[in-house]
Amino acid sequence: MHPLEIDETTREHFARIHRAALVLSGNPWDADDLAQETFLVLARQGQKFEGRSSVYTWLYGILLNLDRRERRRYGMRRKKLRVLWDNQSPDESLAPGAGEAAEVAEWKKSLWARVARLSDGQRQALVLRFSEGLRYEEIAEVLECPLGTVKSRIFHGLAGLRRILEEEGDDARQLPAFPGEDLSHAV
Amino acid sequence: MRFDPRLIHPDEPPERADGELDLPDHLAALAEQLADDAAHLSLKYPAEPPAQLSLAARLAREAEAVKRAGHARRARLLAWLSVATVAAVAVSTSIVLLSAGNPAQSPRQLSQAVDAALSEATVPGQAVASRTARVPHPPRPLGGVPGEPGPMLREVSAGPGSAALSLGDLSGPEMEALFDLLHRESPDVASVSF
Repeated sequence: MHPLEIDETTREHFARIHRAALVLSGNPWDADDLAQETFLVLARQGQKFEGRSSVYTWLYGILLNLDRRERRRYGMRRKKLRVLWDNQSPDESLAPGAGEAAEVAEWKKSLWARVARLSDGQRQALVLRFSEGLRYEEIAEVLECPLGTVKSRIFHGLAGLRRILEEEGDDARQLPAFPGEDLSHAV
Repeated sequence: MRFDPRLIHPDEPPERADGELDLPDHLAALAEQLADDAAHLSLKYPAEPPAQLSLAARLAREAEAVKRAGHARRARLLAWLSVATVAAVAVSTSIVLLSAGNPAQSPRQLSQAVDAALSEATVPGQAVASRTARVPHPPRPLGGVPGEPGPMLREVSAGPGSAALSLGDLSGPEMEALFDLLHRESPDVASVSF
């Protein structure tokens, strides 16, 4: 891919990739990093794009891979910090650890914070469908799985989300807590 | 206990005729709320295109430059390797051809020649006139014929006086020194030709 094409692609698709990264990561700083890294991969490996799919589905694939890698790193970091955490006195452990994620309050109050507790496949399918508005066929292309699997992940992801809400004891009417929002549609 | 397939819930989600998922109301509401939350987050924390774009563009250009430099470096390396290979082949071929043309270059043949020379030198008075030895050819004398070819080494007939030389009495280092003297061009030797 020519640098000029990369510029154009970046200009055209950066906002949507950043939005997906924000929903996935829960804070704008990590979202910035993820989105920039996605386009860095585009700059480095743009010649691998064969044009058989849309550019943005290819970019979503890169983003999800990067997000998966970051989550794995974060999990390992938490595991290492857990060793130190266990050796601390109870008073010290009341303070938030350095390995704690820095999600913003808006994200924590939103349903996406609950979606983050679902499996990778369900979480990614829900992001691509309800945040990015992709068609089932496009999601299947991004996730490289059959169409039926996509629908199944979306359906069971929503069902799992519902279970999480029930376990939290939250009334759906209290979700999300954005002021001035019409909640009449919520169950 | 007998296997009852009804215990396993079907994995296939319900679909409408148009292929869309037929979500129950409570799941449809969750789906709608997810979309609203994503839109709200996006509005609250919008992307900052200028900084991101410049960075991405710079990275793209740098990546392209690095790639071009890498290609050029590889091309130069390949060219150098090709030249080196050709040169190595040429040198090897020359060595082989020279060795074939001059059998005395082979260590074994050289030792055989030395042995033969030793045996002939230690037998006095036997066909001394027919023996040949490689001696340094002196530079062409000042009064010489201009068109006469002048190889550095030439075969000359050894005179009767040279038969008195007993190579068998020489040690190894002395033999090497003798060969060095024979192969070296020396002004002293040149003066002999007069």
